[in-house]
Formats: sequence, C-alpha cells, structure tokens
Amino acid sequence: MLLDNVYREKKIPSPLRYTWRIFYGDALAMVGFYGVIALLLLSLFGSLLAPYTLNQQFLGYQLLPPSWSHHGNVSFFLGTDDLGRDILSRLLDGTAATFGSALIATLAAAFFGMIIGVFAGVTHGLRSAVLNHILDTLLSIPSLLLAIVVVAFIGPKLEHAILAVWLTQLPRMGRTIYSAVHDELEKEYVVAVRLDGASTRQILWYAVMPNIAAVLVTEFTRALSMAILDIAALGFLDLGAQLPSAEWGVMLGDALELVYVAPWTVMLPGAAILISVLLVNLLGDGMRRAINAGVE
Amino acid sequence: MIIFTLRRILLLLITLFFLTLVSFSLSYFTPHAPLKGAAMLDAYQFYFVSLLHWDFGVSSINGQAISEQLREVFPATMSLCLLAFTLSLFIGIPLGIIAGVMRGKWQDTVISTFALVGFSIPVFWLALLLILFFSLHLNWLPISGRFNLLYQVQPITGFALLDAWLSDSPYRSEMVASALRHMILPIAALAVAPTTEVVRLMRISTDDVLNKNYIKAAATRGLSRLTIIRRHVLHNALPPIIPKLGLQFSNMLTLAMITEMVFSWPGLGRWLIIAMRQQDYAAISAGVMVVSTLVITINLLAEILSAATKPLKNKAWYAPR
Repeated sequence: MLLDNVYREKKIPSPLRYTWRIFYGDALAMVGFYGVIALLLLSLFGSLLAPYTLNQQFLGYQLLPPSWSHHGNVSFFLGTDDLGRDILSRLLDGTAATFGSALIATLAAAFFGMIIGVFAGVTHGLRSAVLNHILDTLLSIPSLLLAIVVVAFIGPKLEHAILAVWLTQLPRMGRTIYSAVHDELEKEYVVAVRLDGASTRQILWYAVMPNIAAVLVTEFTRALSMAILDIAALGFLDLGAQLPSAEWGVMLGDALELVYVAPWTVMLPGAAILISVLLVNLLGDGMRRAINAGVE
Repeated sequence: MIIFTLRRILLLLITLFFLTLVSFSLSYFTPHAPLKGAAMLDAYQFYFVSLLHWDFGVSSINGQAISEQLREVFPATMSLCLLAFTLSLFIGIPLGIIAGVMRGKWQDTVISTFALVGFSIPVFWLALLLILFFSLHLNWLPISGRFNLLYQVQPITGFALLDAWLSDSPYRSEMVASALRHMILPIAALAVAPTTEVVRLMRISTDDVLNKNYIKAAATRGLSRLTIIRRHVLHNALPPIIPKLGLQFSNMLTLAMITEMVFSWPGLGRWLIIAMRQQDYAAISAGVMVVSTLVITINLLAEILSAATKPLKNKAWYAPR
C-alpha cells in the first residue's frame, strides 16, 4: 500500500502531527490561521507598508470616498477622513495599536493566569479558598468598570487600557485553568501516574498539560477576541488610546459626527475590528476541533 | 441546600468587603478625592457608615446627592438590561437546542455561523449601523433618548415604560408608544452578543446531555424525539448553564454602558463615563460599588437557582453510593 516504504514498518503519526493534519484539512481553520498571521505581520510592519505616514494631511482631498466609488481617487484607496488623512494608512498603522496591544494583554494574562490557575489547582484548603475568593471578586467587576477604575487612578492612555484589559482577562484565565486542572487531577490516569512515582511537577507537565491543551487554546483565542473588542471599546469611549493615535476604536469614535456625511469613515474601522475578531475566533474554533479530534 | 446557600452568602459578604476597599480607595487615593486629608482609618469608618446609610456623598460637579442621581439612572439601565437579557434567552435557548440536536447538519452550521459573527461584532459599531439604517436611511425609529421631547413624562418609578403607563396625561398611549419606539434599537444592539453566548452554551450543554445513557434509555422506552428533548434534554441541559448565564450579566453591563453612550440613554453607564470625564470621584466610587454589588448578587442568585433546579441533586437520595 505505501509504495515509498522500503521496510515493512508501519508509521503511526504522532498526536501532534495528526492534530496538524486535521487542522490543515480544515478550510475555515486555515483561513483563521493565515489571517491571524497576516494580522501579526501587519501589527509589526503595518506602518512600513502604509503608503502615507500616520498624520500626513492632504489639503483639498478631505472626505474622499473609497476609490471604487464614482468620486473616489485611486491614490487614496480607502478614501480620506475630514482632515484629509489617508484611511488605509491609518488602518494599517492602527493594527499594532488594536491587535498588537490586545495580543500583549492576552499573552501576559495567559502567563500569569496559568501560574495562578495551576497553583490554585494543586493546592487545597485555605490557600486555594483565598485564591478563589480573590479571583471571584475580580471576576464580578464588569470589564469596562474595571477599566474605569484603572483610568480613574492613572488617567486615559493606551498603555493603561492594556493594563485594564490584562486585569479583566487575568481572573477569567485563572478561573478556567483552575477548573480544568482540578478536573484532570481527579481522573484515574493521574492516580496511575502518581503510583508510578511521579512528582507533582511531573504530573502537571506530562499528564495534565497535554489534556487541557484544548481548553487552553480555546480560552486564549476567546480572551484575545474579547481583548480586541475591549481595547477598541475603550478607545471609542475616550478611556483608552488618545486622539492622534490610529487605534481602530478611536478612529471610529472620532468619525462619529461624520456618520451621515461620510459613512466610510465609520464603516471601515468597524469592519477592521469585526474581521480581526472573526479571524481570531475562526482560528480558535479550528484549533479546538483539531486538538479534540487528535486526542480521540 | 441550606448550608450551601449560607456558605455562598458568607462568600458574598467577604467579596462585598473587598469591594468596599476598592471603592473606598477610589475616594481616598485618587487625585481630587473627596475624603482626602483625613486619617485613613477614620476616613474608612466614615465611608463605611455612610455606605450603610445609603449615603454616597455629593457630586463634586453639581452638588447633587449621588444617591438621588443613582435613583434616576439605575432603573434606566436595568430596564434596558432586563429586556435585552429576556430577549436573548427567548431567542438563544431554542436556537441552541436546535443546533445541539442537529449537530453537524446544515441547521447547526447556519446557527453557529450567525453566532460567530454576532459574537465578533463590536457593539458600538452595530449600534451605529442600526442607527444609520433604521433611523437615518429608513426614518423608522428615533436615534436617542427615552421619550419624544414633546411629552412631559413625570419620573415615578424610573422605568420609562411604566412611567408613561402611569402618567395621567391625555396622551398616555402616545407616550407609551414613544417609549417603546425609543427602546427597540438599544435593546436590539444590546441583545446580539448575549444571544450568541446563550446559543453557544446551550449547544454544548445539549450535546453533552444527548450522549448520556438516560437519553438512550428514554429512546429505548419508545419516547418520541420531541418528548425526549422536551422532558429530558431541556431539564438537564438548562441548570448547568444558569451560573454561566449569571456571569454573562457582568458582560451585559459592559455592553449596556457602551450602548447607552451611543444612544444617549440616561443610564448608569453613561452617567459613570461622564463622571469619569469630569473627574467626579465620589460618583465613580459609588458607581463601582453599586454595579459590582448588583453583579455579585445576580451571580449568587443564578448559582442558587442552578443548584435548586438540577434534577441530579436528588441522586444521592435515590441511589446512595
């Protein structure tokens, strides 16, 4: 059957390889995969790709519609805003402010949430109870309210918005990882590993981690998509990034009074947010499907 | 059950205590803090005692008592949230069950795709799209506020619909209609994201329950598919998601704050954000306390409700280990 096989041996693909194969065959998941890679590259090199600089104004070209409309101009592909700034350049520049900062906040939250969640998962009694109560308190404050508290203390700024989003993601992550670790530790194969003489650290690393990978991945992408929405919402409400910044939420909020005259100034940043969140969710769903199939 | 409830209430009190610390530090450590200058313990004691008397101090912007302002904005937000939440339950639960039962078929694909898109839309953008289409383009619905400005509605309960209903003006029915028309767009914008979450949770839960042995047992007894879904799936799939729905409420309040800003709805969120811009720290501190107390209480109620309605809670009695 396998013609390129010289010896009569049968290769069984490793779980990771098998998972990748399923993932590779899933069209939607691959759209999400390439899309998120594109977003990553754009947030690193977006400002280099942009045809104009962030705040370059073109007198006489204010409020041009996108180039495919009758009044458009092809040198401003997605049109211009009320100050004559190229919207395409601003959107490319804003990728770092929106997607990049959301990614930073989520990565930091995932790192600390992992530590807290694993620690709360393996401890018992008082220590576990104290951790859980603190997580519950933080979890009960709505994310926007927490952001308002942060901004009330240290003022509105993109960095502070990242801090606020990190603070809202942390208890969520910690909570999810805690319950995943806790559920796995109850299972019988962990007892078997423990009877083989494994230490707690080994149990966590070799037995528990591979089995909660699906939960981790789903939680991470979900948190990332929420972080993008939160950062944009904070920018929109003037509580996050401030005006010359091209953060997508800020762009949208700034163009609010133009919504009737020049709808594209509002439509395009919103569409950018929608598409990036959608891509992240597609990737997450695809990875979860592939990991679950790979484990089975 | 009673012990469970008591333990949860104790937990609630501890959490509330932590929250008073957060809220207190907002009116003590911030730049223009109202309690600044006093010794910390005295200030905390003063803050705590006035909190127990429902006294949040005075707004530093217009000198109005914060508790008065809260009485105006709180019902406005609650009516928006409750109606949107009910709507999302009514749409989300049936759709979630259909998607869970029809797993892998086209019905599931369609519902899941809509849920994914609905979850990904930023709520402020969705609100703007709705305004652009229904208000500016079609001219069907009003853009902002709670009533048409022509009507003088006396605030009695603070809930727009009830106030209009209770007023003795000759234009009562027009006022109710106006309140309704003003509500449609904010509620539609607010309900989308929670609906997708309900669909997602319900779909997973239904799928879980369908694989259980008691469903196979019910099928062997010859019950029809519809009966199984109505009598067994629904009863077992709903309770585990109730606490998660309670957690959704906190998300809902965030969305409500943003929606209120877009529609100029005179609610808690808009009030808080404006207070934030004006650096009115007494108001922020009170708002933090009220909103998080509300969220915690609702989560507690959801957990108790879930524990009380779970059919398996009696398993220990029927089948002792």
